[in-house]
Amino acid sequence: MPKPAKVDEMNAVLEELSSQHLKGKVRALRLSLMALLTGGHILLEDIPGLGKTTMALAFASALGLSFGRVQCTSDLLPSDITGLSVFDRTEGRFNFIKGPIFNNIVLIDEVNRAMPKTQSALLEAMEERRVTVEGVTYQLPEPFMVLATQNPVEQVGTYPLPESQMDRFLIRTGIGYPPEEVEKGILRQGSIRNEILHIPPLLQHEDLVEAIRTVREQVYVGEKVTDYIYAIIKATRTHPLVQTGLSTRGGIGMVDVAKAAAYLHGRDFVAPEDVRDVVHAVCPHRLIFRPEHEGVDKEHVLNAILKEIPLPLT
Amino acid sequence: MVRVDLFLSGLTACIALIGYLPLLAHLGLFARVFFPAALLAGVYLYYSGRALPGRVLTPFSILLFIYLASGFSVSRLVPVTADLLVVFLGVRLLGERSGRHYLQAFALSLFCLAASSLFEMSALFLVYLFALLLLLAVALVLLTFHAQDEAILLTRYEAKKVVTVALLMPVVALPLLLFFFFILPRTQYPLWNFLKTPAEKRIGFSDTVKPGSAPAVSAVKGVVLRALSPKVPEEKLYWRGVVLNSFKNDAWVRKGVPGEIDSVPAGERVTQEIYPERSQSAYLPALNVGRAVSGLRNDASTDGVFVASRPLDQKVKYVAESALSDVIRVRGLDRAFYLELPGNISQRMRAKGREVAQKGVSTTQRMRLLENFFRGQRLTYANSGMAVGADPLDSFLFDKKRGNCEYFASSYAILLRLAGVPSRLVGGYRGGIYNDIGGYYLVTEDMAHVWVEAYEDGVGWRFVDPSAWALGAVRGTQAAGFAKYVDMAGFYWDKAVVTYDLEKQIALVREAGSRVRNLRLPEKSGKGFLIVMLVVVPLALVVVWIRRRPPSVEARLLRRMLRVVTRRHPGGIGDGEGLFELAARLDDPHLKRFVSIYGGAVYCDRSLSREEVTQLEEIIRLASQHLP
Repeated sequence: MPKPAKVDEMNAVLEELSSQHLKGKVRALRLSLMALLTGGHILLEDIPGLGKTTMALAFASALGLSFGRVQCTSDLLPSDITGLSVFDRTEGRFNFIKGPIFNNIVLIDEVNRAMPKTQSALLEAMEERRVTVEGVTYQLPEPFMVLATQNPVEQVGTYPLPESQMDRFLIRTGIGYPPEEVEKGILRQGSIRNEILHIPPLLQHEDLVEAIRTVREQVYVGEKVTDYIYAIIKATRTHPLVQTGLSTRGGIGMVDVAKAAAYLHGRDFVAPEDVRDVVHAVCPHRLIFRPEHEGVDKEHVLNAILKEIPLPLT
Repeated sequence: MVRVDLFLSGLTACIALIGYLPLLAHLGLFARVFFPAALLAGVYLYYSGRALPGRVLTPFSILLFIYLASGFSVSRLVPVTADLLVVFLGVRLLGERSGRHYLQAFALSLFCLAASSLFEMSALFLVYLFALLLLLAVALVLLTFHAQDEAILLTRYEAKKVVTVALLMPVVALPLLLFFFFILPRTQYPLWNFLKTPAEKRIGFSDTVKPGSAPAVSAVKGVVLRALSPKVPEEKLYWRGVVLNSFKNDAWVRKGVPGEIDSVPAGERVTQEIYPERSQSAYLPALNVGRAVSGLRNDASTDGVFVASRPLDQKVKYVAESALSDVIRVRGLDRAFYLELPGNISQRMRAKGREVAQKGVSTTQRMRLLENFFRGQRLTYANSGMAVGADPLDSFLFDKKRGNCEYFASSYAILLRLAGVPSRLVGGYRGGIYNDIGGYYLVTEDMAHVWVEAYEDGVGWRFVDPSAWALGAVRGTQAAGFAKYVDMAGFYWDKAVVTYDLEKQIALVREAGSRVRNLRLPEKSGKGFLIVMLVVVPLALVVVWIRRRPPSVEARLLRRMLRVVTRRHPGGIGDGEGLFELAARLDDPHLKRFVSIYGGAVYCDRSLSREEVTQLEEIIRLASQHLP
């Protein structure tokens, strides 16, 4: 079976990053790469200080992409993200100064601290992949990925993203503490933020573009896998604890991420286990539980659902 | 080491012989001689490493065909075909030895054997058939080796293995053969009989007796009948067939029996189950004197003759009941009818008759006188050098003094009539070879016999065998050991196979049906339960089988592979794991290859191609052979 184009290069980057620079963050890295390959965005939800920013930085530099960063506060304005026009006196006209969103990879730190107006401007840009300022529309660069983080613990002075907006993020995942050995190593070495800024690009830009195209066009989703995905979606919709199950957009997202997963496994078709492996990244944040079951762990419910639906083997 | 080509050539010669031998008796002279010659020539050519090229053989075959086909006519359709088959088989043995030619020889042999069943259906056919099946199986397997490499050598062990495996095939096929044997309908006739009516010339038994028509008779030793019967004393072993009571052109013939009423003869009762061979005659022989014949539609006459409603042109059986008696009591005898004389009687015989009539007062005395006369003439029993001519009986009695039973009986009966004693000829068989193993009498054509019955007032018809007064008495020969077994095999073949017909099959089914109906069960509920079980259990088994059996090729392959993986990694397969996941976790190279081919088809909405199926089967085979 021939491998899809550029898959070895992609896996080499992952391998290099996770073994050299970002130990213990394989899963988050992998999901980020999948999001990038499918043109989606990723929401990292974890307490501060686990290396979210470091990871984003390393990711961008290793892929040879431009990097922008926005630190959200409650007084952050939409124009602080998109950019604004400034009057140039010498030329006697307004010049548009591009905001941090005009980068390939944009890290939005603590996205829930921004006020809803700013959040919605950001989400609109994420969805449309373009920005309209003062009547002029600017196209965002390709590839484009937003890597937002939020702190799930601290709730004071935050504006939690509503479910409808959570749906815009293809993937939500945590980072988790690194394994013991790895963490001890990090403690010995100290922060590697400076090092990371100097990671040379491991990949050509064209390779990345080709990989993205391959994932979109060459990876095949068969009937059996579609049936499996539909069975999962249907199960979330009819589950007694769940008020609103997966939307069609959620289903599309699941297919897209599964395609990226299959691609990274070197296959040009999706296997059911690809789908099952990405369910936990794609689904939980799209499920809305009934008010009386708010406290139930979404992961558990999803696990129960997955257990009920057998993988189609034949 | 075993040379496969030598082995194969030997087998082919045997196979060809099995095709030739059953047909041998039915072949024309040319084909009969041509085949052995061709076989010998073939052996010679083989050892000298040569073969006749096709450019010689083909014109030769065409010439042979023209020669043999010239004898073709509608009535000789089958004999000519048989000749052609055998001749072509012979030609095939002369040619070069390639796989195609071997196969042709095998096919021709099969056709020859099949053709033999058009002429005859004997138990030997089965022997030939089994031998041919066994040899063909081995030869075909060897042929595959030969096709790879003509000079291939096998070690003794390998050859043994090849032959064993090849022999397994017909052995495994045997149960199927038996199954079809029992359910398929069959014919009693050799098929060729449909095209021609059997025109066998019965030399022995006949319903006209005219001594003197030929100087010698040669009796064939064909089987007439077999009779399952208890053993009977040798002197009582007369099989009564027909009674000849009148004359037509100086020959004894049978005319309508004048009304006479017989009473049941005294004597030991013997029941025989008789299997007559096919013949054109309709007389049903039974031990002297037959009282009743059942099991076959027939007309019984008062003189103890039974005639079947139709000729015995198919294999039948009947049950005859006889009383071993020398005397048949009758009332109301038509004396004049039994005193009629043929037109042509010599003076010497008339004089003898008158002399006896005058000397003897009672019938017993006259018979005694005649017996003494016969003994005094010192007549010889013989089948050759017999009297012929205008008055053969006169010549027999007074000049040549040689003759067979027809002369003895005929002259004695006429002399009795001349002496005023009513008499008649009885035709049938004398003797019989008792098969101790099968418990039956074998009666052959050469045992055909004629004797006399003389009427004595107040007593009835008395049995007299004038041939017994000859110098050399007739004695039946005992069959030798082996011949006895062969005959018995043939008998049971007829009994179990040839006369086993559709009627019997239906009867068998009926009997089974009635037994099931009459099945008594202790309780009503139990019976219902049993019936439900009889229906439900097989149904359930079928359902389970269908459900367990994966519907598609892909599913079956996957199941096989997973079984192999379970053996390779005991306890290694978890629940709800994907195939790629499993392959990666077990790090099994075979499974990895399997799932990449398998998944590439199954998850891409297409069926496995034939090559892929072959590849997957190969992977499964390898994986099951090389356990880690």
